[in-house]
Amino acid sequence: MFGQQLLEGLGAGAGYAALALALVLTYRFTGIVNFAQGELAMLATYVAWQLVVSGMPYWVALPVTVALAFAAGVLTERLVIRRLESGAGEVTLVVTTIGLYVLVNALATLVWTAALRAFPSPFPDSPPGLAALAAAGVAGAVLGALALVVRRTGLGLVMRAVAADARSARLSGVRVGRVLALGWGAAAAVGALSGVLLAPTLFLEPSMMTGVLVYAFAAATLGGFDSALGAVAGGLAVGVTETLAGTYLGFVGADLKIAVPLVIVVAVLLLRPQGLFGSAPVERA
Amino acid sequence: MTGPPVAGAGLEVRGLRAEYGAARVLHGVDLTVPEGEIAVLLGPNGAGRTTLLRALSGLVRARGTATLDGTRLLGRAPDEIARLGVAHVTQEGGTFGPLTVEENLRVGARARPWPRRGAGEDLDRLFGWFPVLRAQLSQPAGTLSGGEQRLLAIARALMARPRLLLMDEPMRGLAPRTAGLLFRTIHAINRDEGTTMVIVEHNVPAALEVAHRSFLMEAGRITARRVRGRW
Amino acid sequence: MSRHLIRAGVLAAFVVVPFYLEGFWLQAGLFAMSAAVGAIGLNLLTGATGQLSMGHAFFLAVGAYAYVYFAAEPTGSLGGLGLPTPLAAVLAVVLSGAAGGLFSPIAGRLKGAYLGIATLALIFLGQHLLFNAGPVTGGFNGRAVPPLELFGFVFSDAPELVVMDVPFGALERLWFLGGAVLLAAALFARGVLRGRPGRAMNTIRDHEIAAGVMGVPVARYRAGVFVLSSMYGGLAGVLLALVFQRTVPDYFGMLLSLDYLAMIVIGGLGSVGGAVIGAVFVSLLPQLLTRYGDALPLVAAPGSGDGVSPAEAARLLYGAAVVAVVLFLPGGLLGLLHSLRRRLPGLRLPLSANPTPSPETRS
Repeated sequence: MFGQQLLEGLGAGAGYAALALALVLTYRFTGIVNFAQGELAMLATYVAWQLVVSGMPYWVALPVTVALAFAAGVLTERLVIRRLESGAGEVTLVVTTIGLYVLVNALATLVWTAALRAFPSPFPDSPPGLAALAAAGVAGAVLGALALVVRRTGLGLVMRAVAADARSARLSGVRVGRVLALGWGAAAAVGALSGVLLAPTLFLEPSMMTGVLVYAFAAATLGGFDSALGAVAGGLAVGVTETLAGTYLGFVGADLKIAVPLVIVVAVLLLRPQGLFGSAPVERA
Repeated sequence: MTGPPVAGAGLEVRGLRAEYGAARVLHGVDLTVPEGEIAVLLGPNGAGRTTLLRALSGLVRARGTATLDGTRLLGRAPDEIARLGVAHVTQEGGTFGPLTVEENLRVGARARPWPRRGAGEDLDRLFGWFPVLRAQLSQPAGTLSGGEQRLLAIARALMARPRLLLMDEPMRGLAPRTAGLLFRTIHAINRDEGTTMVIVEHNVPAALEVAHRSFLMEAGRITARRVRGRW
Repeated sequence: MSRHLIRAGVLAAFVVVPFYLEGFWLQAGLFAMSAAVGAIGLNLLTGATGQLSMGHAFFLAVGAYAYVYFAAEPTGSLGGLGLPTPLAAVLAVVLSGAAGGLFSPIAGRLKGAYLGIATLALIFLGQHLLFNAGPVTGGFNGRAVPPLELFGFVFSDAPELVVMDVPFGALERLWFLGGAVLLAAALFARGVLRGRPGRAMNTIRDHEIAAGVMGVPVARYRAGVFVLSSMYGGLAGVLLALVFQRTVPDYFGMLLSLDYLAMIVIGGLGSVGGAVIGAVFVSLLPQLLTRYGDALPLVAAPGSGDGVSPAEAARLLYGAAVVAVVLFLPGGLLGLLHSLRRRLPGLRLPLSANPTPSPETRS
């Protein structure tokens, strides 16, 4: 029983980890906390659903969706974020992503209505614990591949340089604009992965990712907003904590479950603002 | 390198004007640095020397003319100018803290035009000039001392095999021995590679020892020029 | 001279309107006034001082529900203190400020987006309380709102009142109260922004480290502005409760907070005038779509399932408006008005921004 709870927690945690990683990616590259990350993931999930319902096999629809999400992320950076970068205050940047949040949410409602839908599970015949584990495995493989690209390739090298110091990267001849677009594309793709992984457990509806976003914030804060590894570790931790708290702490009912990540966020920010794996001051200079 | 100057070679600046917002900082700067020479920019703080370097590397928008070997520099993005062969080591240094020393250097090579020749031989060349970096190849750059980070920044700029190297107060804050070593290295690089250099420096005696020509800048203008031997 | 003429014109229009407009529009207008009060408060916190708060809806909820609880007589399972309604209203605003004060130590320690995330916690906390503290809040049904009674004058449909052949019901009477409250709120905020506190707040927003060095008590200001903003939110909540005569917990969720953020950005960050313009834009948009939605494709009649509801359509529009304003109109709608004013020098507008609306520079 405990084992199954643990597996479920890890499965959910993998979804949170992916969205948290998406948040960390956009933050590291452009210094923006993207409140719209969850909604972009939700949009991608609807696209995946649409593809599957129209007959595409699940395991084809998934990479197609991720690729489309990548393209959408690149477009967002080019059209919206790039225009913003010079001279916008921090509040404006965040509120812009909030504007995107509202816009994307309304758009999804317009196209697909607010009706609840079931999302097909990739492993329909397995017990839920095993399905969760498999989902976590898929996520792990993708994130692992991503990590390899970042650590070992020239492209990854350049991305890390831009994340560390964009101006010096520019002076070293790096096409920083392209790297940023790539970063947002990767973030959107990872976010899409999160949505698709979590969709079988949540119902598919326009606000499905709102709660997940809060969990992802908690995960990213816990791990350290500038640490990719932290985001993943944080996501798993939050997933497990949430599931266990829901089962074993009586007073944490369904509607108070959302308090778990919020308490985590506030506690971390007050006690150790850089999170477990992050590096010192997380405020923008 | 010595020899009769080739028309259009080297750095040519005419009537360079730049402002920060409403404040005009450069009021029409004219200077020429023939290919292969070291030029030093002297002057008081606030004279606009840093701004001049920034205008040349594209960090600050400027009007007028600036060309390197006949190629226009103004009106281009910084990364484009870097790929044209201009390397700028800023006052802040600009090392990539979380990346290792070796990774920092490899980023520097990105500015080279394709095909990029093997980075390996270049690393050896650089370690010849900056031996202290060889020992710390796998360490994150952020863990190096301030002086070592400065050397790393310069080494990274050199990885690009630049035609023009701009350095903003490279000796600031360095221990005297390191500073002396740095200047001898700069001199050697210029002699061996023929890299044109423009250096902003406060340390006048040391600077004048290596410089082929010097410029005095005050309030956004060049007020005195000296080619080695005569003011 | 023409400035005063325009001001007089606006005042005259304001007085005349309730005699001619029907209930739907009066309610929409009152709703916009309440939103304006709330937006002015959020603008003090987020626009002028740069503290991002996604919890504004919480303080509206506190104001609305506190008023109801203080003013209502206990009936059945619902509690109430039965205080005189003006006192209840004042206490509700004070309580909102106190709630803000309780949270302000946390608000003082957090910066930027983190403050946003933490204030999000308030929303969820508020929703939980509203749905579960039955005896106080009435759970998911909400509660009926006791009408305001000031010196014997009741702001409701009874007793009957006829002014110049026009029946003056609750909405007509509240219209003038709303206008007075909004005017007072706006003038006070403008006074704060134009004086030394305003300059200190702007400095904290733009150069916080410099502010500290210059001797501005940064932590105290941030806490103080948070409390002030909460009180404005509470006041808006009280107005809202009086206008709708019913409080419902669903309303005070995250989307309401996002509405308010959209208002101050669309209108123009950092100024009272901008907050008012933005509030009118965002709050009237769904009302317009509800009323005239039949003429537009995609917008469903309320209650039907096809297309998107007017509220959703409005959200789509203002979400897009936020992005458009940020990209193309950094000064918001107020900034647009000002640049129009410059191009047409003869036109004088009664709205004036405070001296330093958000300059939008990153250090």
